Amino acid sequence: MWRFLVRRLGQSLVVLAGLSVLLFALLAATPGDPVELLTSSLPDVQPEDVARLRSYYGLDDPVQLRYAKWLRAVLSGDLGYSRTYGRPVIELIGQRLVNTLQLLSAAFLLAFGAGVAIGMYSALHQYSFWDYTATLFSFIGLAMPVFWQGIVFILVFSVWLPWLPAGGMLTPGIAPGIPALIDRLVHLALPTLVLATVGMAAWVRYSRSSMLEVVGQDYLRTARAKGLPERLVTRRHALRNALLPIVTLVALSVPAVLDGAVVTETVFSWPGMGLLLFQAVIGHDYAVAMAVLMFLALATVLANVLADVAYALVDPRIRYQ
Amino acid sequence: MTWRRFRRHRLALTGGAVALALTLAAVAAPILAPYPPERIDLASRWVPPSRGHWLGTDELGRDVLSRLLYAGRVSLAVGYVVAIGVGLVGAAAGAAAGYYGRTVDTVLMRLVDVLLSVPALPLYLILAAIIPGGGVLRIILIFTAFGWTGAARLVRGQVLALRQQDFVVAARASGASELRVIARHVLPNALAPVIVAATLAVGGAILGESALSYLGLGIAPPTASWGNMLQRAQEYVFTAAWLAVAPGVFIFVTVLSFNFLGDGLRDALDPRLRTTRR
Amino acid sequence: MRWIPASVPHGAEMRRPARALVILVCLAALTAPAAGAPAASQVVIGLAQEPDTLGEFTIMAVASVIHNVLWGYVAPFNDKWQRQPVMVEKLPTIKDGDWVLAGTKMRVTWKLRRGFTWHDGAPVTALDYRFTYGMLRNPRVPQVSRFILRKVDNVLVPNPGDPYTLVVQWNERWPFASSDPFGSQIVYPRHLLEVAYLRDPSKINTNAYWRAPVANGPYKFVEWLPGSHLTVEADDRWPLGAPKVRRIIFRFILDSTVLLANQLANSVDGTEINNFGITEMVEVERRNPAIATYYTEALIWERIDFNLDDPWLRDRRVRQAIAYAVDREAIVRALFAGKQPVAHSWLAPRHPAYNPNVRKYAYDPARARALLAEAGFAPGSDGILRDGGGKRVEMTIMTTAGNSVREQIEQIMREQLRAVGIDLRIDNRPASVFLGTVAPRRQFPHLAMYASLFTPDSLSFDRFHSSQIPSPANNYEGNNRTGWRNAENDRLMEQVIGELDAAKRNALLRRQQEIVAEEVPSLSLYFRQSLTTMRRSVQNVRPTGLSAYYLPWNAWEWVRTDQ
Repeated sequence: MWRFLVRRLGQSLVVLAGLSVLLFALLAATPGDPVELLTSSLPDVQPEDVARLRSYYGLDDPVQLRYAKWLRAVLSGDLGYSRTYGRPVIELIGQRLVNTLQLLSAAFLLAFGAGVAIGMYSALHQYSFWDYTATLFSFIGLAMPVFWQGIVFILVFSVWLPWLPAGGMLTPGIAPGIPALIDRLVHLALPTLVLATVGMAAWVRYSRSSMLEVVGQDYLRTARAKGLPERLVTRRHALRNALLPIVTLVALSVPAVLDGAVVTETVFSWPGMGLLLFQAVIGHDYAVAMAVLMFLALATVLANVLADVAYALVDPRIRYQ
Repeated sequence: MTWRRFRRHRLALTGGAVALALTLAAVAAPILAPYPPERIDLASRWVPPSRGHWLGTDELGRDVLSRLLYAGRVSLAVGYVVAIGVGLVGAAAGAAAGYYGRTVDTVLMRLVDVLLSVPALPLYLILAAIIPGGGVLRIILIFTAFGWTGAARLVRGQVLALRQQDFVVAARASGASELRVIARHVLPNALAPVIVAATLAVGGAILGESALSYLGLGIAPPTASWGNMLQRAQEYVFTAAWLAVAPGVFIFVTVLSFNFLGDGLRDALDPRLRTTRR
Repeated sequence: MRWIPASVPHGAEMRRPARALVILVCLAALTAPAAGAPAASQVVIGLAQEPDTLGEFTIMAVASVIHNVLWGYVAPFNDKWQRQPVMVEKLPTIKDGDWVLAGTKMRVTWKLRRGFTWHDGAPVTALDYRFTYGMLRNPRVPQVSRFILRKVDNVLVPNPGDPYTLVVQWNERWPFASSDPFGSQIVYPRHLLEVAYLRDPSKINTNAYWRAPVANGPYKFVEWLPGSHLTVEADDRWPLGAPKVRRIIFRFILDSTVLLANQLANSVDGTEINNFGITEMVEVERRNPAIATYYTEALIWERIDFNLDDPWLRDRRVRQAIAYAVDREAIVRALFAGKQPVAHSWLAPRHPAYNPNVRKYAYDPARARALLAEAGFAPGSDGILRDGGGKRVEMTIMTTAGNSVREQIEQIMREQLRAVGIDLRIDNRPASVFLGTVAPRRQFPHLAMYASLFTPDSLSFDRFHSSQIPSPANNYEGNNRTGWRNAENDRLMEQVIGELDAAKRNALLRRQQEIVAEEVPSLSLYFRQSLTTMRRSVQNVRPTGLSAYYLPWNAWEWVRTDQ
C-alpha cells in the first residue's frame, strides 16, 4: 500500500510538471501581450514606453527562460505578482478561494444530498413512474447550457418575482453578524441552485446505477433469504455498499464542478476562482492564470490519489502492489 | 441481440428519432426555412412570435426560425465532426497504448492524466485565444484536442483485455503484422466504447460551444450557431425574451436526445458497461 | 423573505438595508429632534468593470470613475466643458504673466489654493506636486505614458517658505500647459509614498497604497471588497462644502445583463461608463420610472478605418463609394432610435472646433456604383465586382468580437455593400487582440471598426499626420492607422500643435475636418453618447460626457431627497 502510494504520488508529480510546461507554453502563445493591452487605450504611448514596459515585465526573455524563472520562484514559494491587480497572487487566490469554496460546498451539499437520495430511491423503485421522472430530470440537468439556466433563473427569481438578488456576493454596507449571514445566503441561492442542478443530475445517475448493481448481488439475496425485513436489507447492506463507489467518485468530479463554476461565477458576478481565472486568461495576467490552473490541477490530482486510496481501503477486493 | 436490447430502451429510441429529425431539419434548412437566414429587415426588429414569424425576429429583424435551422447545420456539424474526431483519435491512441504497452502506454496515459487533471473550460479558453478567427474549424479542433482522452482510456482498457484473448494471440502467432492485428482483430472488438463515447461527445461539443460562445470565444457571427444565438439573446433578454427560449430549447433537446441515444447504445452494445460509472 | 407589502409598486421598492437605514434615521430623528446633522444618505453606482488598482498605475478607464470622488482635481472640466480651478487659485494665462514664453520653451507658475488636506489630515502642498512629478518621470517607475511628462523639463518649488507656489518649466511649446501642471490632474501624498519610492522606485506600483489610497478629494476610501464593491465616505474637510450624500458604494457587476437586472430591481441607483447601450436605456425607461436616463453628448467617434495600403482602397473613389453605399442614417435610426447622430468627420458637434459644413455622403447606392465603375470595377456573373485584373472584390472588416452594436453594423454593411457589388467578409477578434495588436499594427487588410475618445484638448496629431503611420520600421509609433498621407493635412496638423491661440487653432482644425471628409481615410459612422443612469431622487447630477470626468465628478454637490 505504501509503495503504491509513493508511486502514485510520483506519477502525480510528473503529471503536474508536464501540465505546467504545457500551460506555460500555451499561455505564452496567446496573441496580444500584456504590454500591448496596457497601452492600447492610451493614444500618447511612444515606442520607447512600450520597450521600457516590456523589459520591466520581463517579456523580452525567451519562453524557456521565463518558465525557468517562474518554476524557481514557485518552488521557493513565490507565486508572483498579478500584473493587473498589482498585488501578490497568493493574496488574490486566498480571497477568491474562500468565496469559491462557499459556493461549491453549498452546491455540492445540495447536489450530492438530493442527487443520491433521488438516485437511491429510483433504483429501489426501478421502472416506476418516479424512476422515469427522476431519470428524465437527471438527463435534463445535464443537457442545459449552464449560463442559459442562470439567465432564466435571474429572469424568473430576480426580475419577474423580485425575491433574490441577481448577482453579487453581498449587499454593500450590511450590518455584520446575523444580517450579513442571511444576506450571504440570499446571494448564494441562485448560483448554488444553478450549479447544483448540473451536479445533481450526475449524482442521480451514478447512485442509481450503483444501487442497481448492488441490489442484484448475491449477498442481498442471501440476506433476504435469511428472512430479514426488506427495509433492513436495503438500509444495512445495499445502501452502504452502493455508497462506497460513489464516495470515491466525489473526488473525481472535481474538475467538472470547477468547469461549471467558471460559467456560474461569471453569470452571477460571484468573485471566486472561476471568475478570476477567466479574467486572468482574457487579460493576459499569466502569473494569476498559471497559479490558479496549477492550484486546480493539484487539487484534482490529489483528489485522484485520494480516490484510489479510498477505493482500496473500502473495497477489500482491490490490492495495489 | 444488440438491436433487441437497444429497442427495449424506449428513451434511447426516442432520442435517436429526435436526433435524426433535428439532423434532417438542419440538412433541409434551405427548403424548410421560411426566410433567408441573413435577410435583414431593420423595420421589423424584435417582432414577437407571430403568424409571419413563428419564433419572432431578432435585433436585425431576421427570422429566428430560419436562423435556428441554419444554425443547426453549424452546431450539429460541430457535434458530428467532433464526435468522429474524438472517436478516431481516442481509438488510435487507446489502441496504441493498450497494444504496445510500455513507453507508448506510459507517455499516452500520462498525457491523458495531464489533460484530465485540469478543468477543461480554461484550457478551451486558452486555446480559443491562441487560434485566431471565430471559425467552425477552431471549435472542432479545440474539442477534439481535449475530448479524445475519455475514449482513449476506455479503448485501452478493452484492448488490454483483448490482447490476451486466444484469437488475438493466434493472429499474432501466425505472423500477422502488428498494424493488421490491431486493425483487424483488436479494434473491431473494442469499438463499442468508442461509439458510445462519440455519441455522447456530440452533445458535449454542442454544450461546450455554447459555453465558449457565452464567454465570447465561440463561433463568431455572421455564422449562426445555437450557442452564439443564445449568447446574443441573453443581451436582449428584457427586450425580447423569446430570443433566448428557442435556441436554448434546441440545444437542450439535441443534447438530451444524444445523451439518451448514447446511454441506450451503451446498454445495448455492452451490457457489462452498463454498470460502469461513466 | 419579502418584507415589502405587495401593494407597493415595483419601482418604489427599497433595498432592505436602505429600509433599515430609513428606520434607524427615523428613530434617531425621534430621539434627537433638534439635531441638525445631515441625514445619512447613500448612493450605489453599478459598474460593469472592476478597476485593477486605483491611482496612477491603473490601465482601466473605470478607475477614473472612482478617482473622481477620491481625489481633488487641479482644474477639472465641468458639464459645460470649461475648466474650473479647484485645487489652484486660477489657471495661468499668457496675459496674466504666469505663463511665460521664452523662445520655444515655457515657464508656467501655479498658485495652489490653501485648505486642501489629505484624508489623514496632512495639508496638500506644492511638495506633493513636485514629488508626484519626480516619481512619474523616473524611468524606473512603470508609468505607462510620458507623452506630456517628456515635454516638461522640471517642476520646482522656488521658495521653501511658500509651499503653495509651483513652477513648471517646459522644454517645448504645448497649448494645454494651463490644463494641469504636468499632464496630471491628481497628485499623490509625498509623506506616505516617498519612503517606499526611494527604497525601490521600480516596485512603487505594487505598493498597498494603490489598493486603499489616502487621497485628497470629497470622499475618503473606506473599503474595497474585490469582486464585490468599493465604498467611500464623505470627508467634511472638503473645502468646497461637506458632501450631502454621505456614502457612495461602487458595485462591480461584470455582466451587463445582470447589471440591468440590478438596475430594474433597484439594487443599484445608477450606472456609469457606457455599461448600457441604447437598448438597455430604453428598457430602464420602460420598466423603472424611478430611474432617470442621461444621454450626454460626448467626443466619441465611432468609425471605420480604411487600410490605404490596399490598392483598391488607395483610390479615393472606392472609399467614397463605400461611404455612399452604407445607409448610416438608417443604421442610427434603427439601432439607436436616432439618439446618436451620424458622424461626417471626427470632431463631434459639442467640440468648439466642430465643423458642420464638411462634405456629407448621404445614402446613394447608384452613385456608389457609378464611382466604382469609374474606378475600373465591373460586375462579375455572381453580382460581385471584379477589378481591372479580374480579381473578385472581397474585403474584410474587423472589429472587437462580442460587441453587439458593432457586429450588427457589420452585418447591415455586408448586405448593403453586396448591393453595390462588394463582398464583405467579417473577421472579428477579442477586444484585447483587436485593440491591442490588430489596429495599432495595422494588421487589418481593409476595414477596421472602432471608436476614438477625444477630449476638448485633443489635437489628434498622432491620428492624422503622415509621420504617425505605425510600421515595424518606426516600432509602431503613432496612431495614423489608415496610412493616410496628405500634404495639406500634414501642414495643418503641424500648425495646430504649436498654436497657442484657441481661436486660430480651432480654425485650423475646422479646415482639417473638411479634408478628412473629402478624402475619407476613415468612414465616420456616428458619434456615441455617454449613457448613464441615476435615481431621480438624486439631484444635481450633471454628467459631462467626457472621459475621465464621470457621473460622480460633482458628487459632493448631490442631494438625495428620498432618504
